[in-house]
Amino acid sequence: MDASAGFQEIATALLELLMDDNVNASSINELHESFLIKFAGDMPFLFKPCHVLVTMLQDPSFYNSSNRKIAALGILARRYCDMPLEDNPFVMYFKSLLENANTLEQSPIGTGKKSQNEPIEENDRLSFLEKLVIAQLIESDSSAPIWNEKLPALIKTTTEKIKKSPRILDLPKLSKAKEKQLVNLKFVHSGIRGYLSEPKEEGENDSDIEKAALKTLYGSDSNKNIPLAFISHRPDFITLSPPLHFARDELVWMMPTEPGFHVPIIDSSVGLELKGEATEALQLINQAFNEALSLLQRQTLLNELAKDPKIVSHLGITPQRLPDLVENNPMIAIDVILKLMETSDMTEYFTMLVNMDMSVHSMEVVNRLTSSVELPKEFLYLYISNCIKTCEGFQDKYMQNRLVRLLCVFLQSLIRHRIIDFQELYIEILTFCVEFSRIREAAALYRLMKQLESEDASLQQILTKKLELHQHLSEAAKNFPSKDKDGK
Amino acid sequence: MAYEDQSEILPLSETEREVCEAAINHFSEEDFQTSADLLANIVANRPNDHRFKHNLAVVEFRQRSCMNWKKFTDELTKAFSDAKLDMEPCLIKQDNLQYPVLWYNLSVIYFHQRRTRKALAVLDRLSKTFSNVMTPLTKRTKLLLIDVLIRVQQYERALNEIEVFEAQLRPSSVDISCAPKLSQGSTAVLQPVSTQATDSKFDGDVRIKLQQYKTLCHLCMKSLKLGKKECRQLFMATGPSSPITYVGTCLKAYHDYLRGNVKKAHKTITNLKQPGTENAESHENILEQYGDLLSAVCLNNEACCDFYLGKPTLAGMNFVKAAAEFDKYSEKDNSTLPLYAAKINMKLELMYNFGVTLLNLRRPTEALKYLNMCLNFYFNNPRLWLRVAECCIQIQKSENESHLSVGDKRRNIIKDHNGSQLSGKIVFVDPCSEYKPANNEDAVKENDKEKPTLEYANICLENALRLVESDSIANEGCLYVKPSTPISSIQEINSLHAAILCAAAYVQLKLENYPLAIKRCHQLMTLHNIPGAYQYLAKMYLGEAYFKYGQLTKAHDALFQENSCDVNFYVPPESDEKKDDTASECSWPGQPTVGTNCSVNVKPLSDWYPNDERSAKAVLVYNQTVKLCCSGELNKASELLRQWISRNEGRALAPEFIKLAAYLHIRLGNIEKAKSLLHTTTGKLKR
Repeated sequence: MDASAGFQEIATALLELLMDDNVNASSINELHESFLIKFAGDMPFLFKPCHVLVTMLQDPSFYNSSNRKIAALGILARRYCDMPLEDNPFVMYFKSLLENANTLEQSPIGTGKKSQNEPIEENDRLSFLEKLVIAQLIESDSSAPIWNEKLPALIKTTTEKIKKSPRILDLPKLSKAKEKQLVNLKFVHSGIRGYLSEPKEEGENDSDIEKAALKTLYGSDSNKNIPLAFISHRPDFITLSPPLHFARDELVWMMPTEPGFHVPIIDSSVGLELKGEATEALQLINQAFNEALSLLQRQTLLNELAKDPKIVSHLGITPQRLPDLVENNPMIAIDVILKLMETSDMTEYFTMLVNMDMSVHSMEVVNRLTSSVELPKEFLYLYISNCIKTCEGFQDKYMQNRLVRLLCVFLQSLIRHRIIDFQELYIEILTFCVEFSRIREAAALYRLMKQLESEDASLQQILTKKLELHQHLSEAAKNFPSKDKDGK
Repeated sequence: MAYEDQSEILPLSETEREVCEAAINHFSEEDFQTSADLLANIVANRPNDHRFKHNLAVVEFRQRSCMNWKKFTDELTKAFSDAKLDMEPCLIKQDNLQYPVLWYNLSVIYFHQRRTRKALAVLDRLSKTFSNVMTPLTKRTKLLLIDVLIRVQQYERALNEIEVFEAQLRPSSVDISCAPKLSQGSTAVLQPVSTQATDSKFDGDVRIKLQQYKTLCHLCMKSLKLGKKECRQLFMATGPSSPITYVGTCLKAYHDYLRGNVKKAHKTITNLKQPGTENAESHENILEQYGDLLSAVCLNNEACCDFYLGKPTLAGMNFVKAAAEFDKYSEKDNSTLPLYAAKINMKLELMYNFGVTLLNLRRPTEALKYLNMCLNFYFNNPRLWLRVAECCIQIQKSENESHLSVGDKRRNIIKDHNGSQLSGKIVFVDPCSEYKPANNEDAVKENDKEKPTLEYANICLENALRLVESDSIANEGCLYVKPSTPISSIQEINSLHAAILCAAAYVQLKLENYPLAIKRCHQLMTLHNIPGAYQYLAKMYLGEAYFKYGQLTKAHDALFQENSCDVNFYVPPESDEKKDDTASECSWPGQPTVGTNCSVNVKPLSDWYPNDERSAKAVLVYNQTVKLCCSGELNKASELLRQWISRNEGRALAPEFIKLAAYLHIRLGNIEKAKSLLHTTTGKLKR
């Protein structure tokens, strides 16, 4: 439904209700009754006409008499007097009207201070008398006799009250209600009306002004169907929109890569298979990956390899397949590795070898290799570390003992032949020996290490002595007077 | 099984062997006609041997310049079924692989059909079955693997492969042409001596290709110094006598472009664009011979240069031209093109480029259309999610300048003044139309999906944030932002992170989700080394979010404490070592800051307001005053405003400030002052 439906009609109806004759002849209760009858369609809450009433109260064009203001506020107070005051949606409005009532006269708009210097039209503010009447009404409940007093009589009694008592307004109920509502409000009184009124000019007719104001403030043609009277202005933060992200090389730069280079090719092996020995070597090596070769087969293969060392590169021995060969035919594996070393990059083969499960065969291969060629140090150390770890982690005691013995012998041989510098793996090997001290070979290895250590120490001592002597001599030489220095 | 079948095939006679040898020779000399004739003879004698049949199919395919590739694809499928093999990469076992050539040919088909993942799966396994011997098959397989790795942006792995490959190519390695040649697995082959010459030519080609790949990898990883070195080596490798290939030229241009020498890159590309100037071959020839759609590539790259040269309109035009070139290509019947040129697809890349350009041209609605389409494919790209969100933000609020620009004052303050009528009213303009967040969350999910709402922007930014904060970046060392090259520098990742957080804070603020807005602001402020503009925005958003969330003290702190209004986009360099990219091959850390100077400029291409300290300060003062107004501290607010106005005396005041002053007058009860202020600033309003 159109949001503005009937605002102008409501405002007109309210003005009719608040005709001077009608107001002066009725009590608030009677006015309220007529209000209810007029707006029966908006029952039960009647918020819409009440809201219009409040916006009308804020425009001076509608109030040329004091009684009309009191009547309008009276209706508003009577409407909600059956319920607790904090439930009255216009509590804050009443509070702002009655604020500082003892000292200053208050304009209906705004809540702050009023400038003393500027002229404000009489009907733009409430007089103290009016305030007192409203204060009485707002503090009363629905059964109070005050609602039934005719308006002129009510004003008269209030005027007498002012004469009798000093100017004190006591508003206990209103203050309490305001406190309660405040809790739920975020922005207190920060809104202002969407318009300012120009002062009335000389000779202007009140009813013409009323009509014009009615049209401007409640007409549906203004502002997207929300009547001007209901628009509130409150300054809001400027929320700057963020800048566009800038990134270098974000746009896709296209790189031609000559994909036409990649074309299908023919299988050039088809029909040109080797005959004779080479094929035999191939068959034998394929067999060797899977099972131990017989002595004769082994000899044939080794002969083939010896005849043409380059053939080894064409037997399909990938690093991944090397462990199988080592496990099944360690002797062939050694030969193959030695041959391969002449031609290709061995890193991957060594890596595979190091990471193999520790076994008699793998150890044999490594041992033989160490005696034939110089293996990379880091590879050997890694292999030893792995072996020690494997031994320590073995569950089967019998197998463990076997492996430990084997490793000890292997290590002794490496150390004796000075293939490894035992100092570099000193801690690891020593811990290993201590852990397996129950095994004879481990004890022997331990002794060997200690013996070498002491030998090293004595060697060290000799060296230190020699060094000291050398230093001593060089110092003496310095002190010896030099011919050149003296220039003689 | 296949092995047994093969053993049943009768061995070749001596004559057949010779014919076979000759066929292979002719093939390697690219005399496909003779080769095909010879092979056809053998096939006629041995109709059951599928290996010869496949060889014949390959030769015939090469003979027709790789045209009619659908037929060849069928023949390859048949070869697989004849060999009793499924086309499943998992069947490639490391030992005893049968028919590696079949697998290689299959991967070639996959590669050109853009089934990159399948090609990678085959090549990955296939390359592991090779021993260290470099047969042409091994070399081709490795090259293709490297190309595929580049296509999937695994540059580091590609470089590793290249390194190993180069080590194997060294003269000390087994020279295949000197030794009896044996293939993998069970079959062994003797290489005819006459092919040695073609082999060494092939090796030369392989070296050049490797050099190209290496240069490209370094450039894509933003290792500019290494890239430059490799680029120089590439030109040396091609030799001074041979004409520079278009690939090399493009690489050089890309290097210049990345270095920030965009003008030079632009010049190189425009030269290349005209066929016949530097490269004798026409673009059409290049497409048919090498499979590169150079016309579209050049236009695209030229547009990239235009964009970074600050000419987005020109860039947009060139992207449209590139798209037209691509459309022209797509309209062709792809079966009339060679296999390697049949399935070029650059539509998504062009759409992405065009979308980003449109966004910078402030045409967010069109940009959103293109970027949303890209999102279907590149949903792992946080920067793309951010771009989509930016489109939504820009659609909702196109710019900031209107807030504080001095325009038509009257129109900006007073909407109506019906003073001619009785008892006139001065009517203020409506408050800024604020974004109204949708209430129903389900409605957002269902209906507003992909509509340019801030709710959609919010979803996009949450995705972007999740992607940019994921652990995989630390693991992989870079952030993948397909279709662009990965971001490897910490600073650039940081800058993207900051942009996402900033946009997220803005969107949350507008959606009135203040706690999350506050969180995003804090996250933004804790980021290391972010430009001043983001720090400024973080404070502003934080102040507003705290205020609207009811935490007035914190809002006050955020807005009033030591606020710098520095809105630049420069990031100070991290440290000296970052400038040197030779220190490490690895892309992260240690990447160079891109650009010729050491500080990184992340200034957006299109202007952003506030663009100087004064205007930034104006917005800050405005927000500070608003905060004071709304929390009831009217005297402080008016004092602050008065100070600002007096400090900027002589300068025209923006309407927002006049409105704020009028508001304060009204709130303070000085209605006549408000009226006179409005009268004086908006002209003759008095009746």
